Amino acid sequence: MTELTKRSLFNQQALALMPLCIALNIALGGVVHFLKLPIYLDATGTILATLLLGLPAGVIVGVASFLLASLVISPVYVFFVGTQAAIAIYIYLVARYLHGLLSTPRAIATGIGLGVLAGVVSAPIIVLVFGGVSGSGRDLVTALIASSGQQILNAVMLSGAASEPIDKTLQVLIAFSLLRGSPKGLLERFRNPWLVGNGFLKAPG
Amino acid sequence: MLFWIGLLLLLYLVGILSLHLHFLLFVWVPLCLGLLLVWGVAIPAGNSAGFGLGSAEAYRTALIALRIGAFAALLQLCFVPLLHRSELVVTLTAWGLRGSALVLAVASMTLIDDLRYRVDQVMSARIARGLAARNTLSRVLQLPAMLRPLLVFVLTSAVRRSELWTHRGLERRLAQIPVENGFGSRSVSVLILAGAIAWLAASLLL
Repeated sequence: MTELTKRSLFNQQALALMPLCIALNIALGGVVHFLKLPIYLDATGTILATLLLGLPAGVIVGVASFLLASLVISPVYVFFVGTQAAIAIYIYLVARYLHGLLSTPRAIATGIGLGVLAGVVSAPIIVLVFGGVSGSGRDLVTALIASSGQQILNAVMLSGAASEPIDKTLQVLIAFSLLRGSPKGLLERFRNPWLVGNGFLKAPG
Repeated sequence: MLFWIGLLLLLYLVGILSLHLHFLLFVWVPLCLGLLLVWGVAIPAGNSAGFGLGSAEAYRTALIALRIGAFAALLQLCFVPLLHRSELVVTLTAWGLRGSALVLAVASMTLIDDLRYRVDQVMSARIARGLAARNTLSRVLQLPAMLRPLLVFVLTSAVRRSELWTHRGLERRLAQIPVENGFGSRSVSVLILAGAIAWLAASLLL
């Protein structure tokens, strides 16, 4: 074992993959922005890093990619680093203990759950920092709910729970199909119990 | 407002005003429109006080919009100029990053452009083969086809890069980077940073 990996939590392969997942988060976000799609795709790298490398790597990739995105894309990203950490924790727990990516229906259920979680976790930040708005089409839903007399926090939480599952389900499905279609020889290099448990790799023997 | 205008002047002098204007156009303006929609139309309607932006709501929305704009300008002014590729390692080392954290930070910064270039390559190749057109709908439909080669590139690149780092003795090279002692102690620096973050949080949230 080298001196670097002795002192580090990660081996060099993980250390080489993590920046690529961070860049993937930012590059995909950029592509989506360029294509003007009504989705974000800014957590795909976080989901992939969590599935391939585990929880600490997933949290670091999520937090670091949003810190970096706040400098190269938009400063508002910095407020949502907690949401990225929550995404990594959720994906790790669901993949490891519930095998939530074993089949397409399970992946869809995992994505819906992730969307609700992301909506609820980011709602207090949206209310406290941004006055309850996100600068997207989601504000129409928030306005509609608020006009019915709901508190602003409830309106943001409900609009998040309604709109985030679509985006997050898509992201989970993308990560799921990418890992399913990846060369097994490459995935073998990142072998871990939850990749086997979710059917991305065959169990040894 | 004056604080923000001052920041805009400094951003112009540093040469990153266009980055801030991009933020204003694509993020800040939609946020302001959202604030007007929610606080000017929806909430007065929900409170049965009629439509329109009352003075309290107008003050609140203006305050939120101004502090988001000022915060964004401050963040860009403080950090973006430090992240030029030629000074990246020196800057991050001065911030106290060492070992794997330094590798992670530098690699992330430099790989963003590589990956964007790769995305462009894949898209251009598909357009050249006649598999995609240049219109938006066609590009949307190409997204799934584009992601697979991108992931394979990411995985193979990670494997190659880790082997390269081992062969080139990355840890030895990192250990050779001189550690410059700045003024003051580490605990004082941490206290100053914690105070600044607390002040910023209070300004944004209270």
